[in-house]
Amino acid sequence: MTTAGALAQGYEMAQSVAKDLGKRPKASDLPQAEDRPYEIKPFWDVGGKGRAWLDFQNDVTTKDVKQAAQENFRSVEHMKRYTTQGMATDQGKNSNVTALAVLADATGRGIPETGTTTFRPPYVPVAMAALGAGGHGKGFAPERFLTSDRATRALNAPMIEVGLWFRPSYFPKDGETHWRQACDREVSMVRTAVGVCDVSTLGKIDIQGPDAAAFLDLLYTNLFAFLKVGRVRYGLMLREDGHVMDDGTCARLGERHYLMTTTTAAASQVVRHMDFVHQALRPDLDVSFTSVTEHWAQFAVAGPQARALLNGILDRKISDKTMPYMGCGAVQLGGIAGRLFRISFSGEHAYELAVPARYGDSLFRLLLTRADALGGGPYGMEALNVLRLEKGFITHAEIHGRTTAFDIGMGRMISDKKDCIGKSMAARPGLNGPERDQLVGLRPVGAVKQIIPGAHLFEPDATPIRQNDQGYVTSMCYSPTIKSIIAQAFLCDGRNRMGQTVKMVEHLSGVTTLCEVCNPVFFDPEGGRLRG
Amino acid sequence: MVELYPTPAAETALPLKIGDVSVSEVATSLFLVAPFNGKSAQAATVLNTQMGLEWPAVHELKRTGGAYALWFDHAHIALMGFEPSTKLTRYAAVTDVSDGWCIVDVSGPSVRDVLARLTPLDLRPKSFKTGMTQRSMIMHMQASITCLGKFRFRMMVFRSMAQTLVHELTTAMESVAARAQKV
Repeated sequence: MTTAGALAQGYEMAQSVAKDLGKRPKASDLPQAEDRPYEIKPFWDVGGKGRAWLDFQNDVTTKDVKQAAQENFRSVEHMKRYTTQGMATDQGKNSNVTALAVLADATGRGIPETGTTTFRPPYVPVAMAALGAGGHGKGFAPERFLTSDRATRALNAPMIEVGLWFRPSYFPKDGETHWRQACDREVSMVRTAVGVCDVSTLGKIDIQGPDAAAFLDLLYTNLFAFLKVGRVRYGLMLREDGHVMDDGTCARLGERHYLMTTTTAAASQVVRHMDFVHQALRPDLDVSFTSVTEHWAQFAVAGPQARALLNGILDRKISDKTMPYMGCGAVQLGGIAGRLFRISFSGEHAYELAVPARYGDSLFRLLLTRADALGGGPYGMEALNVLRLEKGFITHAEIHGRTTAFDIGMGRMISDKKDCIGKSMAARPGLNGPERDQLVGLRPVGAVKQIIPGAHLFEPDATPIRQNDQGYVTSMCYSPTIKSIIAQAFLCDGRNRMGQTVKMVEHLSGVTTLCEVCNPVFFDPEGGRLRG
Repeated sequence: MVELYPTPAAETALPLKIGDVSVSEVATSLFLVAPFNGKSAQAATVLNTQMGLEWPAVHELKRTGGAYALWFDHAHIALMGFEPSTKLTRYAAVTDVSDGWCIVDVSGPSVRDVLARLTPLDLRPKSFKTGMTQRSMIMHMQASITCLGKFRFRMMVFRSMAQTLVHELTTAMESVAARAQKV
């Protein structure tokens, strides 16, 4: 193959094609060209002053490679790591061959003797759009919608994001111009009539097997082995390091059948934890579990009229005897099989009613109609938070990962009759005692009424600096029931400081508030409203 | 007595056809089954006696008519299209999760091109054959994907993510259809 040869061949072909087309081609003179065979001599390094780039991404020059060889990094693997040539995102596609040749020359070897290094994907060009993995707009993360979502948005409830879920903040009524009006109204509505709230987002885990009770006793701090069929119990779950992971309830639906609930926030963490405990710690336990969070649409029905509302829709009426506080059981609505749990996060006489999710939209609309007839209606996350704060219940604002059962006043829930995950670590020095920040309630007692979550607590006369820190506020709300701002906080030796005054200081805004330390249960401390 | 009405997981968004690919929602029961320790053989016998279905091994789908038994995860198989015999509960944990998943069938000549934009699985016909089922991601959602035919797949994601599934499928189908257009 020579240049002259290529020209001659091309000329012959053109003549032949022209004749085929019936033309008479003119004779042409061919340009003079070399008739020597094609030969390439390697020419890797142009030389001259200034930098000669090899790897543009990691800024490696021919000088760097020659220097590597000089410093005895003669192996191509050593030269690569020493200079970082070929280690960027192009994985040497631009520079490998030349760098190798430079190294070979510098070490007096041929290229085959010098060798090549491993290079990694991508092996072919990849569009940036593909690397983005659809992470724009709604492709960034899945959106999770409740079965009650459509009906909720139709009532103009502003939605908030709770993880990937969308939940209603409050349900504004005509004439209301501020969220607090709706929130205060919803709280009073639950405490005097009845409220309905979609609580489907909480994790629900179906647990079955001969060793289900033993599995629960390992996971929870308190005893579950003797929980009777048809009963529900509150449970606390610790991490291996003795700190609180999650709290929830567990219902015994049958001899070897339990239904565990978790908080919305910790649902997947708890399932992962259970997978690890079963597979890695106790594979001998004959137990099986799976998430049924999505299968059941579940609604809280809370307030003095809750049982009346339910008895208007259940196929068979319930009574305090057939469905006592902390009881549970199968129910039917128009022949559809559901589940009823008499549990309460509001402190009122309350239930949670579950139906297969396909009936969620239908049941939610029905519940709202029936609640309305009883002077009640739907309530959202703002009211839910006020109701639980009034009763001293906690959320992940309090079990935020650095608090123990002792801190939240539940040290006695760690049963001394059995082991559980986290039990021994929770007993370590430093995790119990008066030096711990313990859960307390706070109320403002001075002219300033603001209590701000995240603010820190000090002795009234102490300078509000780090060294004098006595604790911090976790949750706050205005309580229409108590008619005051109320809050939960962690305070050093808090349980022994009831009635004391502390100073809250929020260092970003400078807001300073004198607060009384009190029992975090502000309303109905005997719990009488739950029963009967 | 009250009357509750059912709502499908994808509500009114399906069926959908873009380009040569169609998506439709599947109405079926879904039960997860996990045999208790040492009871796998008995559980398999019950299943076989009831439906003539063999217990599926990892990544396997067994079917007869509209009854499906497919591998689901390290501990469970899934049964679709029939209510498992009550005898099965003697040997296995049986859990009804029929309403927990949005189940769709996606089919058409370009279906593997559409899925390629949604999941990292190897979708070549020789790697993902008819009768194979896998667990993977569809974009950012955990999913179960089963090959029902050379140009037909059954996909399942959490019910609450049905809208996201339809959105991702629509984007992928439009993308594939756009490339098929002649300029």
